[in-house]
Amino acid sequence: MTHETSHIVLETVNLAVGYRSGSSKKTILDRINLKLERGNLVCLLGENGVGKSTLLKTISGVISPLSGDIFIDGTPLYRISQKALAKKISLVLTGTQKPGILKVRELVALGRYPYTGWGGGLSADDHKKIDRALSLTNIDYMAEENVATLSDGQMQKVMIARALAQDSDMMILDEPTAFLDVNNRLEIMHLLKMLAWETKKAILVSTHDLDTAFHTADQLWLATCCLPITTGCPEDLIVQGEIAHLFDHEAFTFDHWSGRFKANFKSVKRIFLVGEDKYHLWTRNGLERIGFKVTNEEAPLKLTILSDRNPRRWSLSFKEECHDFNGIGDLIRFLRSHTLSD
Amino acid sequence: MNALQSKGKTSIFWYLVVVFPVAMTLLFMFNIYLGSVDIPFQEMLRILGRRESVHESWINIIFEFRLPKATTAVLVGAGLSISGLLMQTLFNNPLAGPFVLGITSGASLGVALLVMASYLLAGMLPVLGEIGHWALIIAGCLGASLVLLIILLVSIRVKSSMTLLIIGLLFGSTTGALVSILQFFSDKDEIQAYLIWTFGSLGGLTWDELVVFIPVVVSGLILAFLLKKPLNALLIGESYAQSMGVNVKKVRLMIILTTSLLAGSITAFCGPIAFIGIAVPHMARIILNSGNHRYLTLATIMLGIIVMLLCDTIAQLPGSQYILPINAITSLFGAPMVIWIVLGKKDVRNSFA
Repeated sequence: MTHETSHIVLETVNLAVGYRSGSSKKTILDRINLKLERGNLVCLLGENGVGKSTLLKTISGVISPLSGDIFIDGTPLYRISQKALAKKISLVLTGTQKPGILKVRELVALGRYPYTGWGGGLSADDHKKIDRALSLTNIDYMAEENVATLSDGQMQKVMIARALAQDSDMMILDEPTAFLDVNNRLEIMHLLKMLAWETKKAILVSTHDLDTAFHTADQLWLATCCLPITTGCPEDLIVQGEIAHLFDHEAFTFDHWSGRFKANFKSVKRIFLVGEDKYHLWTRNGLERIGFKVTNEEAPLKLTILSDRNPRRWSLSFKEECHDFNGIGDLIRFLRSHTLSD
Repeated sequence: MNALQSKGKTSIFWYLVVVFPVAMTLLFMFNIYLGSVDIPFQEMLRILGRRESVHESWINIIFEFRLPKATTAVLVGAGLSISGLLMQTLFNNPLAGPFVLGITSGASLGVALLVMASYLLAGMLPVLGEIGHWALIIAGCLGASLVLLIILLVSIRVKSSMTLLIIGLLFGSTTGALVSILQFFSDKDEIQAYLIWTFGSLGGLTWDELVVFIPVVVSGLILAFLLKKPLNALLIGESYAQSMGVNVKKVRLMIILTTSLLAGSITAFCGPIAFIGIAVPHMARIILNSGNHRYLTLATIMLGIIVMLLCDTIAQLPGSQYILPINAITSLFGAPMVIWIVLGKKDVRNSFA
């Protein structure tokens, strides 16, 4: 029991978060009972405006909870001073104001703030921590660069290194990848996962990027409007149907097979697809994209991918008609411009 | 990589320990050396060192006129520059200066009331000719303190520093309007007396006044030094600073208090002196090629002293009897400086703070 609790760096009990203005309260999320464990990458998922940022701000002590309790290493949050909290939780936010002429190393060194004296002088130990933060995030090569010259993705890595240098058990990142392109997003998330595993920190990331979260997170926290937060390992949540249930949307549904959201179309036309391996998979993708439902049973509309010669051809038969195509693009163009009704 | 690092550090060290202090000392001596009366350099050193000279009046000139003036220039240069740096970092704005909080406007209003309201408040205040220097200083201090008090109260209430900046600027306009109304009701002698005050002057202070002025400015400078660590944290924004354990509200209050103390007292004692506060921190950043307050604080103070001594030397038009208004010289010098910075850098936001 004691061993188990020592893994938990953060626990919330019946927490309600939101904003106070004067005497009125605006509750955004409530009945929040969460446990954050060391060495895990946790993604807090939810649509824009569901209260992800509010929850993170409350956990990190920026705003106070409306009700309920937050425990950090077993101590109630309100009993921890701001200075002591800085050694427990480090933050990374969506964007950073450009700090001007500052070297990457100097910015990362700011993470040592809670540990240095009034002048901010760095000890040998501080330098060691900074070096480690730089090398863990693979940015040692740009330590002497001016931060003003960095790209958004590089800047975010520097901010993560700064948070690492802060040497806290918990790292909280509020939409750190929101402004980044797909490659940078994946890179940052994998970096975070590696950091969680290697440094045994608890890393909590809010994002609305489901796809990346499924493929990197050790645990998901799903926030939806008016419901308690659902937690679990991503795969469990998918097989239990939680994802499909929580993110139910009239225009999109969650597809268990691909782990992706697919567009819903009002009139679904069935098509019988015969083909193999990648040709089958991507033809199917293309057909679903324009609103067809692909089946493995006989249907009036039948598409066969002819593999007898190279390059392959797509043969579409409908009633007495038959059309041949050289690529998926041609096929889709044809299907979109012709209404082939049953 | 290490070589590069040590090279950058060495050049900063070189500036802080050798270049700036030497330039400061030389300019200080030069400033005392120059004046309407020719005193040989050797003789000047003798007067400074041993208080003796072939001419008794020279001792008087050096100790009662030139030394107080040079000392005032040093204090004003240091105080205004560091205030500018504090404001630029707090508001994350390259155009902020010591006067954005409306402190100077407050001092101006105090002085304007003293100088021009004698017409309105006939009998309650001494007539124009008898307004002493101390009265001007006290009026300026009262005006500056009033605005400071309001700004402090507001800063405790408001969350965003940007709101504070806007409120400070609006204060400036309001007091400016009040001064205009006062001017409308004043006669030309009063307006001229006020106008002369707005020209700024480093030469007006005697040792009696310096005894008060020196400790005020020095304590402001010490406060600024104590703030260099949180100032660095503020470079990446208030949210990050808070997450690193900075008590943002307290630090903001300290910054405002320090700036007000410096800018308010300087304006009260010497009149408004423009541009130094905005231009010098930029010069320091460009020369050091660093925005790190660990070096920038000291560099800004020293560079402020250098620039102010330089401006004062220009203002006394070496070899002539005239002394040009110091406020005009700093603007003449400061405006091209700011323009040069803006044009020279592709992205001002990046070069700033």
